[in-house]
Amino acid sequence: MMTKLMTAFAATMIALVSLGTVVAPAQAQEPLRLTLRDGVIEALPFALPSFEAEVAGSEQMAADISRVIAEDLNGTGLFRQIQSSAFISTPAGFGSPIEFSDWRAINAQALITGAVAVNGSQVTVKFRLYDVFSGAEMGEGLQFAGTTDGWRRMSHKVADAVYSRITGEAGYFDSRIVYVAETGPKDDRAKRLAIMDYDGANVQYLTDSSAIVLAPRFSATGDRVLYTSYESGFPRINVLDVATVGRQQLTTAPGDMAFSPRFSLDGRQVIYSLINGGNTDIYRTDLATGQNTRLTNTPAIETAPSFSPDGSQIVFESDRSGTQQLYVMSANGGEPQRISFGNGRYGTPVWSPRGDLIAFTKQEAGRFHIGVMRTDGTEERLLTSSFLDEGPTWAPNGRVIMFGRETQGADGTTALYSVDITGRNLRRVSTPQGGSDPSWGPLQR
Amino acid sequence: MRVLAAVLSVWAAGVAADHGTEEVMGDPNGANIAWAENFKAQIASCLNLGQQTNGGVAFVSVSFEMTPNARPAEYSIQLLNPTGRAGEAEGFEAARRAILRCGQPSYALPLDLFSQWRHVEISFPYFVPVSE
Amino acid sequence: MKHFIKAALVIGALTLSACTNADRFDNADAVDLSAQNALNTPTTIDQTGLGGANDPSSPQFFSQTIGDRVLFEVDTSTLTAAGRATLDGQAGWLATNSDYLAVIEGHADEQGTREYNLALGARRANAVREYLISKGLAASRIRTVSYGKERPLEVCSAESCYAQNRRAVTIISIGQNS
Repeated sequence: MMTKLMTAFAATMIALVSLGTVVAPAQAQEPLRLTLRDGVIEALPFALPSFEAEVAGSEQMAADISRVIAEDLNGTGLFRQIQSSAFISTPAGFGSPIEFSDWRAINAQALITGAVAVNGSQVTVKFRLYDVFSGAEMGEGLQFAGTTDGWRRMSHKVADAVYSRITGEAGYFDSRIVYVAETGPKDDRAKRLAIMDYDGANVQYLTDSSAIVLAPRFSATGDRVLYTSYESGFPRINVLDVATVGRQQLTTAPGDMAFSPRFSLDGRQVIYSLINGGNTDIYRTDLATGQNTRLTNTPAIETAPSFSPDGSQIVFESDRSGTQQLYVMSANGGEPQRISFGNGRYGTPVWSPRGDLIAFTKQEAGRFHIGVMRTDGTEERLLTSSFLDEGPTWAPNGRVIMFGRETQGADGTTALYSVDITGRNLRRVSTPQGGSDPSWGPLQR
Repeated sequence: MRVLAAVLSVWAAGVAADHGTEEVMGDPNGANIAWAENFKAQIASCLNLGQQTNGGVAFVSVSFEMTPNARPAEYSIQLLNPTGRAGEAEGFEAARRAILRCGQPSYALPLDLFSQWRHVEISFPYFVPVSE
Repeated sequence: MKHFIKAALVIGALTLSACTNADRFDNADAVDLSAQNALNTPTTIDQTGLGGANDPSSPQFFSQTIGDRVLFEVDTSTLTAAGRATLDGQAGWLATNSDYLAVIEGHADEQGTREYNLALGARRANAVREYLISKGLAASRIRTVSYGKERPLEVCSAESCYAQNRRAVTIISIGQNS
């Protein structure tokens, strides 16, 4: 599964000797010129000898940190850890010369070495990354220091650095998820807000289950969470401060119910749905001035708004055409452009943090899918399919999507899943109970 | 598997769309190029393209020298005409790894035609990262 | 919430009796029974006078005898003929028992996204509210709330359950609509 997902495919054009302008080397013979049209998408094999304990008593933490780094990389589906039993040699110590031939022989492409030192409540983690086939270090070694209770975050930071150096893209491991933790049977489900690391570790509950809570949404800096709560008996939007866990109800435009909130990138504005007289429209509230702006005004259901990263546009769903479809409008309202035209119903659109794609939930022929499309609606791709998948959220680097999945029937349960934007590497995210409505926070500092 | 197939077709489409204007050139000497095709396939099997992006596909041109026993000379591998485009450096690294990995212990090449494959230039595809 | 649980028990009992007659779960029967119940109750009440569900001024009478809920077709908020008949009974009861206020809960089945279903439940609750107002009730006595797909009554993933979950339930209480 993790090895060659595919071998060469679609071999189209063939290679050719041609007359070219490149200066021929030494002999007067022209170089052989070839063009590859394909390659493989396979997990990159890496070796990660357990990090060295630099100080006596650091052994357990060194082992734990090594394990979490490897889990992060393996979990992407892009990397494959080589079992330590295959190692021919291990580095004599952190910073010792590397016997690259030993690592080439077991086909490792990347080698990660490191050292851990625990001193009281402080821990430092050092690592170096090597490109085995070039026999050179990739980037400079780095050191992270902090308190021992932050050891998982330090592990994630190492893994983010490795990921970033090899793929050329930002990582996403040192990030958190806020979601709705679910317990109890389907007809008596208790819901409460929970926050956890991206990999399901360190779950903490932010509310009790005395009132229904729905669809928490991180601010761009991760300091606040918007969510819908039935505390008052009616759906209303709350703002929760992550550090203090203090919460207060958002003063929206006047309406019977308010839900489906999201922050603007700068955290100063909130867009949401407001229900008045049974009709649902989209509004915007400026948090500093309290000024409310109505952005849609039709008898249709207009909900699930999401800002583009530059703040200039809003994607949302509306059934103004008769079925749920996706529309893009200016952040100030105005006539929207419909962007979804396939079969079925489209909902819960979310703009990618890169700005290039929109993720959505699609319902077609009794199945639910998570999909992505370009922001003009072209190049739709469905990434998942199940009885009920919904509510996508983007990893901070825009490469991975997390969503909620519910199984069928009286014993149906909820869980969080993640999938690569190519549709590969579908994984269940480990949570203590059921989960729904994830919101992926930013890469932490 | 249906999803995987969809990914492959999207990816293939991406490659074609981004590089569709390139011309297929024939062998001016009319030589048998089966060995060259085979050589290309050997390298392609080691080219790890990594994660597909939405930035499309671009190519890096890489030149290198071969030894008479059909092994790549590691010191000779170089990037031709660098553009500094995003992802180019990673694309070159992936290309170099492919050349070295699949050259072990050696490539299957007609040793008697050494002069024809002594100097090699290959265009390798890579996925262009989307700029922030 | 108390009313809600009681109502659930009543529906359960009706379903059970349908099953004993039919040997298997027959959803059509269950729906008909509740509709019939709503239509036929006036003939069976006043003569007993035992209080509870048989006391026409009791909340139990409202929820069980008149019927506190109406059902909807897939992805619609249009009242059915049976639904309007139930609401006529509700309007009459509320007109007589003027101390009571009502909150209409709108619900949807699980076949839909959370946000859309919340909006759809609001449409359904509002359809009931508008109907009751058209029958002469003061708008100030009736509020609406939508639960979307958050509070299913029936848990199977089949149309027989979905039909019961696509509902608007009128919850009555004495006091202030805040």
